[in-house]
Amino acid sequence: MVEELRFFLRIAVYLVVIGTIYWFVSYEVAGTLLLLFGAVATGFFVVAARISFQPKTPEDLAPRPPSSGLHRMTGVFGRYFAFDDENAAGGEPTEAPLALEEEGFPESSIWPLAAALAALLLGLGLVFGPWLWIPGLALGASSMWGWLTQLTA
Amino acid sequence: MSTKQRLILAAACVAAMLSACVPEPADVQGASVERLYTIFFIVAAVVFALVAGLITWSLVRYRAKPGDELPKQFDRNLKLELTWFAIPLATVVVLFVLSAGVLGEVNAESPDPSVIVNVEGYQWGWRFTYEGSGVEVIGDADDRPEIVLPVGRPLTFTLDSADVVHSFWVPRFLIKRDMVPGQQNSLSLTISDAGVYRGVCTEFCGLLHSKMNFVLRAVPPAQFESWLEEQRTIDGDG
Amino acid sequence: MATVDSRERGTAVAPQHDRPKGGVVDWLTTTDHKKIGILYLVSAVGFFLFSGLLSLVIRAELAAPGLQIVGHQEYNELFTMHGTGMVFFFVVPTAIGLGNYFVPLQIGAPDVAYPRLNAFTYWLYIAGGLITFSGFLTAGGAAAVGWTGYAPLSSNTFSPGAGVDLWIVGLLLSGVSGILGAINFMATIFGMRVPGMTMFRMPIFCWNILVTSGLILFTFPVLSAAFAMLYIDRQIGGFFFDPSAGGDPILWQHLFWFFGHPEVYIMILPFFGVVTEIIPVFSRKPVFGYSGFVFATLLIGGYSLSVWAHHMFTTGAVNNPFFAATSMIIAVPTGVKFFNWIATMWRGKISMQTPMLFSVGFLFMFLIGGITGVFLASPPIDYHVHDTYYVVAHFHYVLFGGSVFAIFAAFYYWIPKISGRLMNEGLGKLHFWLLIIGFNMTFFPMHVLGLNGMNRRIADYSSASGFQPLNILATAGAGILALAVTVFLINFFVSMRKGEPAGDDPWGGYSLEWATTSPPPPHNFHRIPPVHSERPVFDDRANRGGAGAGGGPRGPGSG
Repeated sequence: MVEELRFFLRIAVYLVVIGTIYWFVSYEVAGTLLLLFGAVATGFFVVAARISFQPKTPEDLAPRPPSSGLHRMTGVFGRYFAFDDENAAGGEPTEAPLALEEEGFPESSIWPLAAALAALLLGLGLVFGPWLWIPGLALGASSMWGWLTQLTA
Repeated sequence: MSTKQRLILAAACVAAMLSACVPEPADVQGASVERLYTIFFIVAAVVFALVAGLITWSLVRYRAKPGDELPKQFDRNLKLELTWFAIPLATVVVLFVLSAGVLGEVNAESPDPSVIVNVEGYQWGWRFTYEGSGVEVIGDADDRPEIVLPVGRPLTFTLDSADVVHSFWVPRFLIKRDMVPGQQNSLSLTISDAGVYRGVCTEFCGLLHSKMNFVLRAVPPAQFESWLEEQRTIDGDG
Repeated sequence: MATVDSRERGTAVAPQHDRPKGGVVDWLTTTDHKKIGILYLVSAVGFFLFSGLLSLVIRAELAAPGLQIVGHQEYNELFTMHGTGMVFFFVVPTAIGLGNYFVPLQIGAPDVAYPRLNAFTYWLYIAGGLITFSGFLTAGGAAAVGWTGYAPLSSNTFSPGAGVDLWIVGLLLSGVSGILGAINFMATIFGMRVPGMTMFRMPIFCWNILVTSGLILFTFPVLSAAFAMLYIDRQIGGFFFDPSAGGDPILWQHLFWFFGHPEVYIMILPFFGVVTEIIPVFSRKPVFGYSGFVFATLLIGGYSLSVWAHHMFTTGAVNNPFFAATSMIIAVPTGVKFFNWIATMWRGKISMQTPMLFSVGFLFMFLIGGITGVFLASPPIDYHVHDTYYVVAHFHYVLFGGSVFAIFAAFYYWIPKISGRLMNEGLGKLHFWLLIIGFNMTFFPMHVLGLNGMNRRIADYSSASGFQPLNILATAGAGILALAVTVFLINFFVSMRKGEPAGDDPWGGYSLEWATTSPPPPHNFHRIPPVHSERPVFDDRANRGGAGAGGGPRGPGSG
């Protein structure tokens, strides 16, 4: 289990536990649903990421260290929840290049600003009337088009 | 103002700041809150002195001097860390248990209140109705209402709002309760000291929120009965 | 050096073609995380100054009973927009700005994961800010519902006019901006760390930005949903929160505080991170209890999702003991952090330059704010002090004494990296002392005022109440605060023109941002030192046996 996934798993389990307790002490719907939806979303992410998992981060590339005392003591629980913070657990520096270096930087781009301007117009349209949506949608569509074509260029 | 007077004034200011206490409670429930507050204040003072003292000590004792070597590079001590995880935990558990006890006391509803006042808040005034007698006291931002209640008798306020959320608070009672439209809240208490108390709305309720005040006069029961009788006559005449 | 194997050389970074620089067009179209970080910081400080001016008017009005300067309506607009501006457009964006600039540098990445999304995030934040504050230009004035916008006061019946709608839409946009920014941070931290930089070698600041991002992802959508529902109530005839049509005003409070309390931690965790970066460097020791810090941050993040209704103790609609328990327990990880900070300084060699000075100020002020927080977590005490100036004092000790002091610490610590020039130490110290005196004069008396019955959000108080002397003290303190901020601005502008060159590493820093030039090149690094611990630059300095292997702060006035 890699540390990144543990990060979400801990949150999901905590939300299930606290959500259940909260329901039985208060029978209050809104808070319970918010906590449990949070757990479902996080849990879904953990499952999805676990399925599509490719070893890539420094921890993944490193040989697994012998389990530390803390991990032995905590057993299965520790395997999923304990901190993997022994320095030996980390991969030593490798020459593996970072993905972005190969791709280089995105160029400067006017489209983020244009898209935000479109959002501004759409937002003002919500207050002052839908006529503002016409320029807003036009600008939004063109900035999305510009953004995407710049991406593939 | 002479130097001496200034000194006294300064000392009084410092004393006032240091004794950041709740006002003297005018009701039985408030007295419980005051006791709890005092315990919290003592614990807080100890914690502050301990932590602030440790910080100050480190800053004074371990100040860098020219030509210092690199200090010893230590960065963990599991036992120590578990200890200072346990100390705050134990402290808050104690504080929680104390709070839960007092919470039960101040939330307890009078089983048989001698006076029930239905309080309705509206922008920006109050309507107090004495249940049973039908006496009504109404007032708003321009005309502050004044109600009279007996000392030493269990009282219940039922709280409701005609428009937005308000909150019913007499600072000297040390408890408040919100007035939420569409939800009936209640507040039970027994006034212990006679006096004239200021009441305010504490939940922001729009334009004249700061003017939504009332006056509560706590009097001996006999005086209260005669006031009630008087009001009933006035209401009957009107 | 020829015998040193490749590991000790560090990761070489191929030189990149430089991005075009300078000029207005460049700032408008940039996708460089550093430039976007600068834009964020400058804009956030702009909103800070504006919202701060609003609060000066508030303080001036409260100096005497009666209405002298503004009317009731204007006063209500002032405190609403002061709170909104500080929370949504200053503190959170400052955290995002610092994260933008320094997270990629600290993990050895050339940029964030989605640079153009990053630019969009910034411009959306600006759009949101412009819309929110444009309420002042409308006929009915800005929103006057408090930053919490409690229903049904915020409904069309009780608050007609475009001000509240603009407030809703502006905060919706800035909320979306926050969500996108959080996704970007998470992807960057999870996917772009330099080889050797394991999760448990990341600087604590990055951990805290990570947990903050998680909290944003959990809570901002709830806020957006609440605002959408409020908009529907106001504009399309909905009645989610309208009790006269079967809606529930308490639902608004649940939704708002489900966002609102984690928001408090969104506003403080990044700055815990900042202080945890600064204290070890200026004590010349490693951070004590690294994994304890991470664990505490995760606990705070988790707990903060289950404490929301301690803002609703007096509503009579929530389970008070449950929320009292969860709220008090959150003091435990915070206490752990305090002890770890102290242990980091313990037996160190502490040099008190401005970043450390502000960090120490943070420790003391946040300590007071944290302790009064435990009072507020106790329902019976909250019955007395809820919605009084005691609460105002408490959250200013947390957000000003905590966040703002740490923000200034971060500015003094990192502006030399951003600009290449050191800030002036003398003016910095003057700034600090004015700030801490003014701050305590302004906010400490508010504890006493609140305990004695001064309720929140009032434009006026009666002269018979006896509140005036302490209010005068608070107003005078606010004047000193304004002076302190002016000193900072003067220091900034003078130092940017005439400041001493900073060099790569003026403080003897530990994390990777100090391994590059000041300011860093467009691709961030010419060479990244090998990462074997959470202090790569410290290790690197020791390996190379450079002057004073341990480093230690240089800077003017050191020693």
